[in-house]
Amino acid sequence: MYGATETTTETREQSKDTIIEVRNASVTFDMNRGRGRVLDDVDLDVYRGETLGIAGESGSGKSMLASALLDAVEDPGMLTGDVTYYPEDGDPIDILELDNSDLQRLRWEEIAMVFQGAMDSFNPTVPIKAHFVDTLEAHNADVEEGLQRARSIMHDLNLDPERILEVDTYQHELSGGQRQRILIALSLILEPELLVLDEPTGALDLLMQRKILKLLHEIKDDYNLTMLIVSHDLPIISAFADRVGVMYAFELVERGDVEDVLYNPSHPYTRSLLRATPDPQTPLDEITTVDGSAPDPVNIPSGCTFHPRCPVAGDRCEIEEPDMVEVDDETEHVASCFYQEEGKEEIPAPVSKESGDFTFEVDDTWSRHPIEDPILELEDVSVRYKDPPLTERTLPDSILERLDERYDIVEPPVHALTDVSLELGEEDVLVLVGESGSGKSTLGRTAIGLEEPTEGSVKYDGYDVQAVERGEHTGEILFEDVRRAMQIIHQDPSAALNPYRTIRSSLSQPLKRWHSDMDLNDRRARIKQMLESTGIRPAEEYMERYPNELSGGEQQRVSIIRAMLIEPNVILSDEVVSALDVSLRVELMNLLLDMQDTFSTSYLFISHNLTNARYFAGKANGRIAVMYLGQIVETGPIDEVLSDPKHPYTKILKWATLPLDPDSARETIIEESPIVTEKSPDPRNPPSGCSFHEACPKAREACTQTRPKLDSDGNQLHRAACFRDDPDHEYWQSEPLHGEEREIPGE
Amino acid sequence: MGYVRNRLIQAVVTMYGVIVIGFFTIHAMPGGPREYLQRQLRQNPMQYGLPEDATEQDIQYYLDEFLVVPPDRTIYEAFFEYMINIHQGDFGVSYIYSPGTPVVELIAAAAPWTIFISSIAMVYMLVATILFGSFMAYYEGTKFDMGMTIGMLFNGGIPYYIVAIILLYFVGYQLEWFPTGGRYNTEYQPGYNLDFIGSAFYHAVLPSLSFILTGFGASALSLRAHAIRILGEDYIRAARIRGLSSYKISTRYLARNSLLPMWTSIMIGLSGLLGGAVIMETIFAYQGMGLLMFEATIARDFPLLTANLVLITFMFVLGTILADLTYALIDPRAEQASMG
Repeated sequence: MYGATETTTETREQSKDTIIEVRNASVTFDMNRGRGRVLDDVDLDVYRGETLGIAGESGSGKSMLASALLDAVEDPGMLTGDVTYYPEDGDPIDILELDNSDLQRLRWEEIAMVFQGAMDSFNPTVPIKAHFVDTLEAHNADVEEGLQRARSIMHDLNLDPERILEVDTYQHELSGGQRQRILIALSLILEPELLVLDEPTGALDLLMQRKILKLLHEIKDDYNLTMLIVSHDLPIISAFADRVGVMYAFELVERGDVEDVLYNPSHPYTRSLLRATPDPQTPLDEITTVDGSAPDPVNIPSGCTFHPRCPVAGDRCEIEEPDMVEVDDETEHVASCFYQEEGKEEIPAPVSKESGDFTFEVDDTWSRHPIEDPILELEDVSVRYKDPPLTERTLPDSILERLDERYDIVEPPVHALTDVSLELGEEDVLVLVGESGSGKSTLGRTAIGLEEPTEGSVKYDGYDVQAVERGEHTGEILFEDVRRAMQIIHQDPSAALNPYRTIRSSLSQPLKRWHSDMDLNDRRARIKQMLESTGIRPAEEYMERYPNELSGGEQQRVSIIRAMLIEPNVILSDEVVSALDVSLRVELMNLLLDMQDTFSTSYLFISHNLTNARYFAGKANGRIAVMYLGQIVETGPIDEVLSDPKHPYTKILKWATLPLDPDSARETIIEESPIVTEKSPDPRNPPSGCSFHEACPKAREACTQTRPKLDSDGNQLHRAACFRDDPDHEYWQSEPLHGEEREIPGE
Repeated sequence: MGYVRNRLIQAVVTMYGVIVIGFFTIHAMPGGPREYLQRQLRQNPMQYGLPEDATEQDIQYYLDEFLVVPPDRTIYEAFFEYMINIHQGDFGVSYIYSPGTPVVELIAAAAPWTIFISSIAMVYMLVATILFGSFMAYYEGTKFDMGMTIGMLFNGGIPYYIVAIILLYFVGYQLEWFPTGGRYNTEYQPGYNLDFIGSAFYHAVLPSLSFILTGFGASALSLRAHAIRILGEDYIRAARIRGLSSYKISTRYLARNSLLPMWTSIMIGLSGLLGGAVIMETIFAYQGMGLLMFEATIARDFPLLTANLVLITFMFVLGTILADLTYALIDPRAEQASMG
């Protein structure tokens, strides 16, 4: 705690030394629809030695600002304004006036960048090593010396430099976390002063995110770096940055020290955004949504760009563009709003200084009894795949053919699910949480009958789904009724909707299929009413649009409506909100919950994120199931599991969830990861005993022998598949596996 | 190595399939070698050394003497005998084209010439594909790109034989820059001497050029599309900002990745040209496999025709296999998969 505070004070003392100065930076480009503006007159100073966070939703211009620092805005974007770089010794450099060779030298030698999407930042047909060598050669640096430096950076990043720098190591042989760290190493190869990081933990799992943030934190001091980190994820910025700039509609709307901005947000947008961020500590009822949607680059509102969505906007905001105003005289905290005080009264402060645990408002209405009459019941379900894992399915067909061959002959099957049992009642909510590869999607798809279990049974309303499909219950229940009763909503709405059909046409299909008695006008009326009830207005106009004319949030709403029109009893919602912006997530989860009241459906809600899980299940008085390597390791009512987790893995996931509060976030970011090894076990050869024992800080000899089961005596709702749950188990007498038992912070 | 094994089995099955279908369809063609020769003799007996007013008896006598007519048997018997023979490397003897000469000898004499002009054409087509495709991608959306796209559509749309006839007329007959037919100047002694080799290349110019001028449009357009997609990839942008030279980016980053999806079609391109050689060699009176096949078809010279078909299929299957097996060399992701 003290350590963290001291670093910030130090930074503040040296903070007057500017390393890069941005003035009136604008990026414009011409589109068919007119001139677009994706960065609008931004001023920014980055101070030497600090970490500056740029927060904003997708399409707010934050990545554009990051590219502008290297004069790397892609065509047809036109960057205007001034970007001045101040070297430690020497004259200031006007970056936008540099000729090509000087610009080439400045990039990477002075300012380097870690791009978004580690998956695509390496040339797939060139070895990793060549990326380092090519970069060194391009800058006329000594290759041997440079590679030596690369080895030591990789070592600091917990990578194995010898393996990675072998001639035949390519990107596809490395995991996402490794690629991201290699990208960081590659960015530091020429010892830059300033490192720009664009969503450095974007596509990674929770635990890997934490690991990379911690490494970045260490590397910053070791290599004497100034960092600019761009992220939509506010807790990351809160944990990592000294100062923060908040972007909305291609402008900076607020800027200041992280504590000042988070504890005393002064722009209504910042306040709304913070309130819409599902944070572990914010009471559920205080999480609200930001109404409306972000503006189009071609059609930016006049005056204050936020005024159409702002609860305190006055006439003045529509005409006059607000300047940055100091929030108080002592700090450098500024916000561009005329009505700061009014905004503070209207929108209460979202982040309190009291750090706390996941909180729930529990009342007597919460059900605390086992499900009596399950509508969906899975019993000891296992799924084995012979095919390559889904992640490799994104490769071109020609390669897949070879993979099929290979997996058919050489590889044992993937244990995607092992002995999973669960029950879902009527109007029930069960959230499945786990990292990628934990089997949560497989479980969901098997539960609703999209995949066939290798072993075990899936029962809908008491009937075995496979048996119904084989026609064994003809006369009692039809397979198509089962099919209709269980629906799915996908993660990516743009891929789930046919791009060549209008919204009306897409939504008519389920009605035609299942309500043959409805005529054209009936269907129209029904679709219109559904669109309006989900806030898509004017519905008449939206009905004739194509999916690409809708925003991401609107598309997702349409796919929710499409599932609902079938009036299913069970809906699998597969990461439905994770691709959406922070301000939309809560809105969509609310929509799903409202729909539950109207249509009395049950939800299987898949999420990799505990805060969304907490919000969704917490609002609906639901349960959670935590998954690891194809098994449910802990399940129970959401409040009990999150406030008092029993399984070490749940505890670690909870630890890995960053709070929004900067003080506690900074404290946790420097904590050592409790996990023993980052290597996840091979799902083709799962470890004996408890599958988590290789990584578990609490593992003992007993864990390698037998697999702990979720005991199912029925009366206990909160159950964990861990021997530690049983005070009399032989576990307590056996020897710890990984030396001294480690504490899980927050335990 | 299950992949390689399965791939070879597939290839063998394809070969047999083509031989069976080829054998029966060729024998199902109306008319036969005897009818063909009979007609020829009646029309122009002097060409065959018979008197101008040759009697029907003379003609029959000549036919019996001249033709190597297979004994009367059902087509199934003929098929089994043929299958047994080809496994011993015996594709039979020519009936008419050069009666009695083993088919293998005829093909061995003609094939190198066809492969010679096809290979030249293929190499230049590939170069043109890469050059035009990547330049168009690089200048995507400009007037250059639009103009070239139209040009490439013309290039891919005009049949090669039209260009061949135009070239033959203007460059061959009018300007007399290049010979209008033949494989080499018969004054030179075939062998390893400069005169002969130079003459062979000189004669190959027009046939090859006709292929080249019409052959790269479609593939250049498809390369352009791949390259535009690759240009949008993050790793290209990242490489540019890391300061890599445009030469390195365009070769190691852009060209290589854009060619990946086209690899198979490039590798089987040669056998595609062999098919086109039938008309091309007829136009230029170029004594290669194409002309051989054309004459064999006209004369219903069944063994020669079947053997030609087998050879072209073999080239095609070989190209596909080579493409698949060498894919790993240019795409490391496949190597891990197929060798793993």
